Amino acid sequence: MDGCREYQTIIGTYVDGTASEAEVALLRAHLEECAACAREVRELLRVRGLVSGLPTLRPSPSLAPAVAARLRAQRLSWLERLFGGLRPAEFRLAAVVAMALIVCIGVGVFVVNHPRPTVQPAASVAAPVGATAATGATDEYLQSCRLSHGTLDQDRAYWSPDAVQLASYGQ
Amino acid sequence: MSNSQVSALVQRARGGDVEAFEQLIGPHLGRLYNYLARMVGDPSDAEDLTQDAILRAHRAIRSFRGGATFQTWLYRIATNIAVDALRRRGRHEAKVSSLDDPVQADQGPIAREVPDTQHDPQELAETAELSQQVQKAIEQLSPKLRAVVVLFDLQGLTYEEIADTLRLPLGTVKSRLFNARTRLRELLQPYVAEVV
Repeated sequence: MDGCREYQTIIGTYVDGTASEAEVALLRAHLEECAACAREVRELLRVRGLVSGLPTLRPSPSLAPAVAARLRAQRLSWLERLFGGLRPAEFRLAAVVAMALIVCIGVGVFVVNHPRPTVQPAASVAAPVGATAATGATDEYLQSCRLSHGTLDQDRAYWSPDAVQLASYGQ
Repeated sequence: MSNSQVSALVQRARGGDVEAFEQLIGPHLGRLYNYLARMVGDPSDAEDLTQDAILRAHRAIRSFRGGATFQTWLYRIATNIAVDALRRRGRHEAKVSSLDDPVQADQGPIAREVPDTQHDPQELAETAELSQQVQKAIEQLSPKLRAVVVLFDLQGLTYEEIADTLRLPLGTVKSRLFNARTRLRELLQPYVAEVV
């Protein structure tokens, strides 16, 4: 049967009814000599006969009206009209581009509405005598308590005695 | 329906004309149902899936490029829907329902298969039994083999149309068809084997 492998493709098309005349002649010559292949062909033809002999199934009479009703209920949204014609890959690309645009716009809006606070550098305010020791103690406190939300310089400026004094002048 | 008529209806359907879409679908409804019923082996599931396939086609009508015929495009959608359903069923386990069950219509139950009035009851019973066995064997094929054999033997599509529908090379269609028949030959041994 090993030598019969070359006939497998022809057997397939023969059973399907699509073999050419030359293929049919070649196969018939082989089948006269090979009982196993001849049997295989006959059984495969029976299989084909059984499958294609299955009766056509019909849907219930309510299917067509149900389909029509659902089609009318399914009004396409503007989004589906816009993207409905895209293939899956195109749709994914469009979705990624849209998401990227939304993220960019969101970041832009956030940046515009939340400008970074400008902090006067501590060096611009004249430090009174004895402030250095107090500033060093504050640094240690901030670092140990991990209260710093900005840079250490910003925190230092905020907590410095000068800043406290300046704030109290405003009151 | 000629190609130009189909193109004109597709254009109208793309513009949101539901009536045009219904005219496009109408001639395919029964065949689509038969295909899905043979694929999933359950009549009520097949009706739901037919509706799903048509609604999906309606939503995607703009993606119909015209390279494929409308029929192969529809079968492609239906195949995807059937394969998804079979995958889901594989996860949730099968519900068993026979294709021989009558359809429940308003005017009472109707036999689902087209009746054959030319043969005697004994012969019909044997034929019905055989049909059930063949359907069971088809359901034991993997979805990709099942689709090819049902499209070729029952829906009458050509190799080229199947290749277009399933987006497969022609050679793959032929080999899958051969593999499907060989597997069915094993499954249907009592009915096809020769007594030596």
